[in-house]
Amino acid sequence: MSTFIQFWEYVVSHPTQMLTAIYEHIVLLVALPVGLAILVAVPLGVICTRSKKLATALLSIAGIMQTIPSLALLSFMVMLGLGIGFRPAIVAIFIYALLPILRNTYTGIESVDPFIKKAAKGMGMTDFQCLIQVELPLAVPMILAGVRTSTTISIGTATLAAFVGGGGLGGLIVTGLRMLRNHIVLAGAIPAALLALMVDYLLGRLEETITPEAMKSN
Amino acid sequence: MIKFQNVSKKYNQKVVAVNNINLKINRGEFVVLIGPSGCGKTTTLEMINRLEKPTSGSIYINGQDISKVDEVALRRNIGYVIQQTGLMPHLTIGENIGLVPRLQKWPENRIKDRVIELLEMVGMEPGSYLTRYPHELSGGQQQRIGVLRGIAAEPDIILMDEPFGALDPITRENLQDELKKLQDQLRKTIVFVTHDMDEALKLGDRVVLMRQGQIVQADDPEDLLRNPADEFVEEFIGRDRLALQVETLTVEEVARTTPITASPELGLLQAARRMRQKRVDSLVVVDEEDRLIGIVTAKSVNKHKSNSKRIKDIVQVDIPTVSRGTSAKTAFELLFLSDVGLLPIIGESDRLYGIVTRSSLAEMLYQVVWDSDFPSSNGLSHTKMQASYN
Repeated sequence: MSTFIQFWEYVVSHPTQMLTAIYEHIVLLVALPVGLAILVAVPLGVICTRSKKLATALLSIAGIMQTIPSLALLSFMVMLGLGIGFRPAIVAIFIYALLPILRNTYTGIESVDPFIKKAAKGMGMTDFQCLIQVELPLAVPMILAGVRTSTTISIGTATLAAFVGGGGLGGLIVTGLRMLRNHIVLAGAIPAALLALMVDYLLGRLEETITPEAMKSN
Repeated sequence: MIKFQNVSKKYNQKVVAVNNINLKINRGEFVVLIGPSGCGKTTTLEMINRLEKPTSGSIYINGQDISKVDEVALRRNIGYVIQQTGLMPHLTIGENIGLVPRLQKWPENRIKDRVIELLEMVGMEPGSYLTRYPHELSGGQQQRIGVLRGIAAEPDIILMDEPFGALDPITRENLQDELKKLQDQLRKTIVFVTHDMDEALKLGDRVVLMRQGQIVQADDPEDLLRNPADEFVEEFIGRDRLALQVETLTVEEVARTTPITASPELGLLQAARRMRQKRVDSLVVVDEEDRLIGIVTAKSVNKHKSNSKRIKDIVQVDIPTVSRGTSAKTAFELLFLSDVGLLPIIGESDRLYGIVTRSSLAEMLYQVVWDSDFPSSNGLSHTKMQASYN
């Protein structure tokens, strides 16, 4: 019990450190790499729907990346010359975030009712109009689900960034472990866990509001 | 308007979907493509708006080879209605109907007016439907919107690919009626794909029957029914012949020409004996020139046996008759309305030509349904069939 009291006292007495860690965690280690991943993975996913060969290739590459243990991937990034600090962490998290978004964009567009695509084409939409006006709007819920998965995974992975000097809430955990101070470990771990739950919930709600009524049943 | 010239379509250089077809579709004509699945009817349709490209041959619209026209522009000028509506689930009814006009960059207020006009045309209150989404509508209403979307940009040509295929029979029929009415007003050139012969015969000015990528017969519905090109056509329209034959058959074709007759001078006891012998329950009373006088039934003979002597005293003269050339359907209707079990047919100079009985209907049904003659051609059952006029 005393650990929790100490944890609380630590949080209250180090507001700047806590806020900095949370800020770094959310903005630098999650929002930035996931944002970049969306910018890269959504267009790639779209391109995949236009070329089956590319789809197979890209999806397997992203799949392989996903299987590399996160700590190992972080270390590779350092060894690849990205140095230590935020840079390797951001790149590693970015790579992790790619697959769910890429896969969901691809599946989301692929699973649009073929009759609807045919109607769109037959009525005289160009391929681009069909994509922007029909396929993407209908795939948005699916893409958002991918973003949600990526974000949740990233919040967890980001705690490891501290091992390569990446800061964030992981910094508190690493410090606490080194100093054998459990309450400092908790000061990093508890907010990280709460953050993951909260973001998952919020994105889930967003997904629900954005999904057209017609598509909810199926 | 639309001309197919030696058009073939092969998939993977192997599977022949459409095999060298030639077809001319006139302006304002409603042409139905029909055939079993895999006969190439949908492929034929989709080659008109270039969703499919012919492997060889050319298609002309108003004399212009469509392979030389920009496909997007081509499609925007051709209405397209498909099965399961293909409505955009994320767009409102108004947005769905206005889709092609919007692609053609009509001004917004013109699109709005057009959408309202169309909804009113099919009796759907614009106020309550404009902003609703497709999933809030019934299947029939959705398909109505699908049709409206197809005609919204006022194309001259409309392609319809089994638009009513997924609907229940009653809704389907309602929509067919509406489409027919719409077509009477608009006189568009419509190419309509279906596998339902009833639908084809009902809607088409011309029915094009296809098999294995080829056109087997292209005729107006009446000619198709009367002169099927071969057994395949016959078989394909078989199910529907029942309804149509009853319409087109004349009373002679179902008549019995050797009815049991009696002279008005015949005694009642003799009449009763004749009925027993011939196993019938009524006699047709004719004079010596074979002119119809009336009918006597077994019932009235039995009733009056004791107080009358001759048929002429009890003959029922006030009975319905038909003349030769009347449709069989009318004859059967009269027959069922009258309380007498047979209906005399009057031929030249008032002579009795024959009779129609309720069993004639049974025979005709047999022919139509089993497509062969009733076993009455052999003597025994013939007598049996004649036996019960009633």
